[in-house]
Amino acid sequence: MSEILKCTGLTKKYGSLVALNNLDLSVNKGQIIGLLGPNGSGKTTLIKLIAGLLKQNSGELTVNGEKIGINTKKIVSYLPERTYIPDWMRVVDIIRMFENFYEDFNLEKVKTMLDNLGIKFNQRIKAMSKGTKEKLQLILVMSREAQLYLLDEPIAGVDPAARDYILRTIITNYNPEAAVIISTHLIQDIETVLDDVIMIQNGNLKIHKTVDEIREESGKSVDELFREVFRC
Amino acid sequence: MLGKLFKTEFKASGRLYLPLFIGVIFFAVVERIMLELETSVSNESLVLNILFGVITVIFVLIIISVCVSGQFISIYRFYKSVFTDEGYLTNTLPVKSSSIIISKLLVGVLYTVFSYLVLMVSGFIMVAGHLLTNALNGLRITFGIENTQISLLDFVLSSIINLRLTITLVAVLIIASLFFNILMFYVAFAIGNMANRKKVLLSIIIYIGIVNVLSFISAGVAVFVDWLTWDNVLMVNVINITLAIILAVIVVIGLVCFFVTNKIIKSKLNLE
Repeated sequence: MSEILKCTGLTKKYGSLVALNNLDLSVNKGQIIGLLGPNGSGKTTLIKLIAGLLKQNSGELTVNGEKIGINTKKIVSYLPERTYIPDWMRVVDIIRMFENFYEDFNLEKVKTMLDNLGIKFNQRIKAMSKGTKEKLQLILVMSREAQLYLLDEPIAGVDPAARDYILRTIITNYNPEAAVIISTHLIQDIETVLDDVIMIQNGNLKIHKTVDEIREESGKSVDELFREVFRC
Repeated sequence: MLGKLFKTEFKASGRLYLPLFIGVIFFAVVERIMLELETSVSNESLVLNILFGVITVIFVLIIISVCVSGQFISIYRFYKSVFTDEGYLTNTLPVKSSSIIISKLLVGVLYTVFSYLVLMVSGFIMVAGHLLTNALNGLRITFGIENTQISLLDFVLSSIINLRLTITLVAVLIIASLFFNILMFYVAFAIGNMANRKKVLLSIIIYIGIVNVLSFISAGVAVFVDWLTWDNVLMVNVINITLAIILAVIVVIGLVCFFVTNKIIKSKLNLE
C-alpha cells in the first residue's frame, strides 16, 4: 500500500502552547483511520494542517508526496467541525460551487445521497437545521473522488439514524486508492468501520495501531482502551 | 481559477448591492414624478407635500446607503468569507490565496464604480428634460461663461486639452484610490484576525492606525512638495508633481497591504 500522508517532526505552536509536538506519522491509502484523543489533544490542529488552513512551525508534512498547497487541496476532501456553507445559498448553489472548483466532484453521487436524506436541490441553507446542514456538508465532501478524506467530528450533530447512514456512506465510498481520517469522541459508533486507530494526547502520538492489534494485544475494544489510556 | 472566484464573488456581492441599486433608481423615478406633480398641481396640497417629504427622506437615505455601502459591502464580504466559518470553505479551495484577494478586490472596485454610476443615473433621472436645461444654465452662470461665445462643452473640452496630464493623473489616482481604500481594510482585518479575541475591534483600531500613519505621510509629501516649489515652476506642474507623488505613495502602500494580507492568509490564518 502506498503512503498518502506523512508527518515528520511536525510541530505546531499557538504562542507558548504546543498543540502538536514533534509528531511522526504515516498513513497509507485504502485505510479508514480513527483520530482519537481528549479535548485539546491536537486532533483538529493536525487536520487543519493537512487541509492547509494552518502552517506548522517546524517539521515536514506531505500529502501524496507533496507539500501542502494547491495540489494537495485538489485531492483532500475536508469536513470541518463548523458549518461553512453561506446562509444565502440554496443547495444547488453550493453544489455548483463544488462542481466548479473540484475536478473530482461526482454529481451523480451527490444526487443519490441528497435523495436518500430527503434534501431538496432548491432548499435554502438558511432554513435548514444545524443537523441538516451537517448532513449536506458531509454529502458534498463524500461526493468528491478524493484521495484523502478528513472528517472532523462528522457524526456529532446528527440523529442516530442519520449517523448510521453517514457511516454506511463512508464505508460504501471506500476506495482502495483513498484514505479516510475520522476525528470523533463517539468511538463506539465508528469502531466497527475503522481499520487503524491513532491516539494523540497533548500533541504527542500515544498509539498508532490497527483495530485488530488493539483487540489482540489488550483484549479490549477501542472504546475501552481509550477510556483506560485517557482516564481522568 | 481567478475567473471562477470572480464569478462566485460577483454573484455573492450582487445580492447585497442589487436591492440598493434598484431602490435608488425606483425612488429617483418616484421623486421625479413628484417633482413634476408639484410644478403642475397646486402647492397647497398638504398630502402631496407630506408624501413628497417622506419620499425625499427615503431617497436621501438610500443614496447615503449606496455611498457608504460601495466599499463596506466589499470589506464585509472579504471578512465573512475568509475569516469566519465560511473561511473553512474559501481557504480550502484549490486556489492561490492571492487569487482569493484579487477576485474580491476586483469585484469590490467594480461594484463601487457601479454604485457611482447608479447615483449618476438617478441624478440624471431627477434633472432630465427641462430640469437638466435649468441645471446647465445654472452651471454657465456659476462659471461666469453665460455671456461668452463658447458653450459649456467647449469650455470642458478646452480644459481637458490644457490639463490633459493633470486630468489623466487625477483619473488614475481615483482608480488607484478605489483599490487602495479596500486594501487598507483588508490588511487591517488580516492583522486583526491574528489575535485570539476581539478581532473585529482590533481590526478597526489597526485601520485607524494605518489612516493616522497615512496622515503623517501626506504631511511629509506636502512638506516635500513645498520644498520642491520654485518661483519659476508653473502652478500646473506643481499640481502634477504632487499628484504623481501621491499616486506613487498610494501604489507602494497598496502593494504592501496586498502582500501582507496575502502572507497572513497563506501562513498565519487563525480560524477559530
